[in-house]
Amino acid sequence: MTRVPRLITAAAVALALTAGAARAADLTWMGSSYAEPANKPAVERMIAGFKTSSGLTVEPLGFAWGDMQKNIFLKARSNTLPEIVQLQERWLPTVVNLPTLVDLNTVFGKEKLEATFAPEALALGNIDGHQWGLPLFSGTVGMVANKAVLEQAGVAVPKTVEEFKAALITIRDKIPNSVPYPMATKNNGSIVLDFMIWNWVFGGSIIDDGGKAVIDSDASRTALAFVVDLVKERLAAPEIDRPDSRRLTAQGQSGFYIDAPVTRSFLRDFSGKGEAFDANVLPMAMPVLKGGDKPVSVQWGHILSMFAPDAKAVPEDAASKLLAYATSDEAQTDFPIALSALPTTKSAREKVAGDAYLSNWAKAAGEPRPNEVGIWSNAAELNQIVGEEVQAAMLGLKSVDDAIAAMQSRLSDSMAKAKPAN
Amino acid sequence: MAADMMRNYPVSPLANRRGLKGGQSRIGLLLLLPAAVAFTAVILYPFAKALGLSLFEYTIEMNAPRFIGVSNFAKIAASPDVWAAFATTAIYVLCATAGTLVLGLAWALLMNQPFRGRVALRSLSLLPWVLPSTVSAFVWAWIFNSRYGVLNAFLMEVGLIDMPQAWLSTPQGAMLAVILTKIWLSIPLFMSFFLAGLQSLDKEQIDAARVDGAGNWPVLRDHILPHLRPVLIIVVVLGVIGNLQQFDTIYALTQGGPVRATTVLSVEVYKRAFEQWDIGFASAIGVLWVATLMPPAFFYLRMLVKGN
Amino acid sequence: MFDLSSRQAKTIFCVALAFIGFFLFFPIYWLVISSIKGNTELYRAVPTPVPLAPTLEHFVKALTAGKLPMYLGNSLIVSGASACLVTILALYAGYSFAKYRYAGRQPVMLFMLSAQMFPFGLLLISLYPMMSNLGLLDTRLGLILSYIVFAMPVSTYMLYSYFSQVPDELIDAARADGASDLRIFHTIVLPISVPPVVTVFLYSFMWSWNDLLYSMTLIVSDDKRTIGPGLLLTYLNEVNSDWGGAMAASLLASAPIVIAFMFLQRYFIQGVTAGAIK
Repeated sequence: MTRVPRLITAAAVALALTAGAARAADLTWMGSSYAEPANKPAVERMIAGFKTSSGLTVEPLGFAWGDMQKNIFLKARSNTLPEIVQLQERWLPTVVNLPTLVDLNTVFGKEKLEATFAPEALALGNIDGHQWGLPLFSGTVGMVANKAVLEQAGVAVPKTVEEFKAALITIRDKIPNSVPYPMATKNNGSIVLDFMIWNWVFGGSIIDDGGKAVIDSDASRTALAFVVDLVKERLAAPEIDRPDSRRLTAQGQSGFYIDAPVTRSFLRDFSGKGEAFDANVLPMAMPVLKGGDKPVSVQWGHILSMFAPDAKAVPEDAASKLLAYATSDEAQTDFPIALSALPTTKSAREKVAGDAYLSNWAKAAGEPRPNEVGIWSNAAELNQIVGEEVQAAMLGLKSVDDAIAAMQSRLSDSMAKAKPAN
Repeated sequence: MAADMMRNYPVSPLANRRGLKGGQSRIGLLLLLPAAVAFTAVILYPFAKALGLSLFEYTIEMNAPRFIGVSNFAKIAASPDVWAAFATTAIYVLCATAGTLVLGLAWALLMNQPFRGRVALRSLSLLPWVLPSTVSAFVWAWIFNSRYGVLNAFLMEVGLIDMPQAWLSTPQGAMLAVILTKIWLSIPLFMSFFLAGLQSLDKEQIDAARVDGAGNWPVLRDHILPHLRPVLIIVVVLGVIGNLQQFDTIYALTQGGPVRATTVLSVEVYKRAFEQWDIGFASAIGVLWVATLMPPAFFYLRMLVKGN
Repeated sequence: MFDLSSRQAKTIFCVALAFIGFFLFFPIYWLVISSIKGNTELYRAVPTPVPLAPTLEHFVKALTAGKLPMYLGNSLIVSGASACLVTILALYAGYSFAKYRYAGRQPVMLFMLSAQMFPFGLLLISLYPMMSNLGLLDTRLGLILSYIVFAMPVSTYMLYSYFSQVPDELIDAARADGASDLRIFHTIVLPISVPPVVTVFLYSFMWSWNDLLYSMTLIVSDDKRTIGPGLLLTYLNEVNSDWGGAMAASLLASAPIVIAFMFLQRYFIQGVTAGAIK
């Protein structure tokens, strides 16, 4: 064991380890869909279609949805951001800070984009007149019912909050070991979404349009008391996140839950029954406080953003071509549908107008509103505050009043330094 | 045999007192050099840099850090969340270390007793330590699972509870789960150290005590435990250090939740730095953490190195 | 050691053995049987203690659909290389601390040792941009170098403690024969130090093997991901909670290292005994 050979070995090992795999593709697409077994084939089809039409190759890079934001920033700080990143619409306000994000109006032209996309879909990627991303698929987050379970328990689709709770009680009593409404109780991001919707149902709001925290209201207190009571009455359960809701529903152990239309694809996968399970998936309007109220839902979608040196790009770039292809009719009539979501272009929407599930979903959406937490630059912190306090109340660690008061003061502190991103 | 060595060559012998030549001390420094370089590059320099960053504001919206003096520390002083993380860490480290110590020692004593199948059992005992910690976290999360977990089923079967409990959603349950997981996976390491210590136990001395009529308990108290004292000291150091730095099982099991019940300092620093990107504030918490630990750690280590 | 001839002593012995044994081994039993239960049997409110219909479906899925072998390979490379590195560094440093005297020896050693208390997360905050500047972010080499942080101080101490017990006469005799210091170390001291070296190697290997913090942060590409985050991100995340798959993958992931340990554990215990601790 002399030193020199060891040094040589070490150097050789070091070389072998640093040499990354040679770049095999023309560009890279980083997104969560590719990490989801249910949706991976659709991504692969899109990439194959793009190769056929343009001759360019794309390397897909999948990250779990919950891991995406962190990895975007890690990659940004190490200058390894891929050309195309698939974003949840509510991440945009934080991503906007990255200096290499391309304003797509400068690439494709504002008029052309407005002529192509449905306005509310295009708005998902727009902040202050800058088009930071093109919508890939859209929809709303709202209530889904499991028809088989409803029939088994003998309950009708509830219209009001009161009927909803009565239905839950019936399911709880008739189906042993069920979680009638698997509300999000574990992960901050999911808790916020569920609570935000219920808060609207009761007429409350978390943050108003001017960026003021307005959670300290009787409506919000009633809303929080309502969700806390659901857990206490065992109509909802602790330790539930979106995948748990989907799994429970796929196994016929829950009646209702809140999710985006993509949920159908997950249910097909989790139930092991494929499209045969579709018959059970029933989009329904969010229950209302009293008859005559408009049901609510949250606008939702994924967008494709582009990163380029100096944030400059032209339509001839490979990345621009991929964006153009992803929003072409060929891709738009396949990819969103495979994920059980709405296409984003006007022409593709016309072509899929016959899809009963999607049109039912759109009908059930009532009056979709933008995500009132996600649009702020400090969304990550807001999510944590609301998630923590609501969770504390749901698990009985804090009283409803204390949780609301704490939320109000913490949200106000956080909003004091927030930038209005929208 | 090791005991003889220890008597003849106490730790820190300042060996070779005679005839130390200048050349030799240079060789000593030369041998130290690679480690010193590595230490400076990956430990000392990053530490110094973090020390500096604790005086800056550096958030996700900023392209460069901005000097703000001790504001981060003022913010910590006013933040009950950070203090709670200190308290949570203390509880976690205390319970996990004490639990592992007692069970690890007990298991070592059992494994030191001759019985059939002992060798096989001793080898199998290393399993929990060898599993990747993510796997340990998976296993315990599955046992504690509120809907399909075996713990709930067992407790309901024996009638201790009449409703499935969501253990990981209560502060106490989640704390218990992370502590049990850590104890479980550390027992084998502690056992190995204690077993090693027991090898050098003077059997004649114990036999003599037995002839004098000493029972099991006096033998344990007067002979075995005093003999294990040096091992105990190093094991406590390793245990406390390991538990203070523990991140993986806690993160994989509860991510610091429910709410913040299992957010120990390691999780707190990680979340502040890499989920909220508040680099300056995260550094400040870490610096305060070191400041709290350094004085006792230094004295304890000096005592250790000087051979008590 | 203990006299178990009395009934009471025997009872205490057996109860303790059963109690701690259950605590140690039941989770492993549960891991194994959960991995061979089908989904319908797995997701039952009252679990079956013995699988009714054992199936290998989770294993098949983990091996074919996932990237488990790749994660595992990455982990073995990274942990192995960093454990080698740490062991080599600690060998020379420990020997230097134990057998040489020079100014500042003890303070330097104490300082190095207390560095084990520096929070890994804190170091990571500055290691991250450092690795980024060096172009080592998202490379295995970057991870290997960063893993030095975990175990070098304690490893150095363990070997220092062992070398302190190596008789000086041994070294002096060789020195009298005219052997150089390095030669003495390599040909006389090292060969009698195999067990403690194995112990230190395994100790530092386990730190890297278990790591989640650094790997989750310094590695962003899936093809370089190690087993800890790999398992976490594949099986229990926002879109999935596949317990059966997680259990099967866990077993597969643990297999190589468990097998290696079966061979090395003899050395490990010997190394600990030989005074890698004092």
